[in-house]
Amino acid sequence: MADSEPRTTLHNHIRRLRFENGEITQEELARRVAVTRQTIIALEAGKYAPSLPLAFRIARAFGVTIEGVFQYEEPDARGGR
Amino acid sequence: MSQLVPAQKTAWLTLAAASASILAFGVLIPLVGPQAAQAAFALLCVTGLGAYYFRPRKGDDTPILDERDRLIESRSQVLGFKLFWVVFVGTCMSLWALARYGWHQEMVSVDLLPGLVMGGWIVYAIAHSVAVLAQYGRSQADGGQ
Repeated sequence: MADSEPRTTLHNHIRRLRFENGEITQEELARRVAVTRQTIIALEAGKYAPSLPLAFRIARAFGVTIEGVFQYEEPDARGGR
Repeated sequence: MSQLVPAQKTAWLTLAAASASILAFGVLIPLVGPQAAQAAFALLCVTGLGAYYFRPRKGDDTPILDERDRLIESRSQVLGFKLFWVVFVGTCMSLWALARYGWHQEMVSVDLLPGLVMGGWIVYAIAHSVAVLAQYGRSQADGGQ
């Protein structure tokens, strides 16, 4: 079955925000937002796009809006990845 | 191994146990016959030790499982059951066709039933474990989609 909806990409600034907020470790951020450290690693590497509640928790952990952490990139018109 | 999440460790343990049991089954067949050789599948009980990886850890208050782990587990279970069903139905129909038109028998041994169930479980366990490892290792964004 063909995928009619182009795939989207989500970028984030978690790594930069960690260092701008007192060099929070991945472990500490994981504890604050109640996920495993491996999930923080996957998020920073762009391997995982979080659920909306987790995105809110991460944004609040840094005291910024969701847009301050995550950037949604529109897929190109051809539906490329 | 320290960077692996519990689900990855469990998947590797399951793959190792399944491989060992299949190997032992193959080795035992010429020695004790196919019926007694099925005892080799008792090795699969080792997979139960995977629960050890999910124990609470002292001094670590991060969760053992989170939404990403649950998503990967859910997808892996679906894939495992789909593959199990395909193999199970395919094997049943093949046996029926073989017995009916190949061997010209209208009955098959009841001893095939535990073999089918055990084989199906191994197919599920292997497919589930491979899916878990592949999803933790893959590099494309996948969350919530």
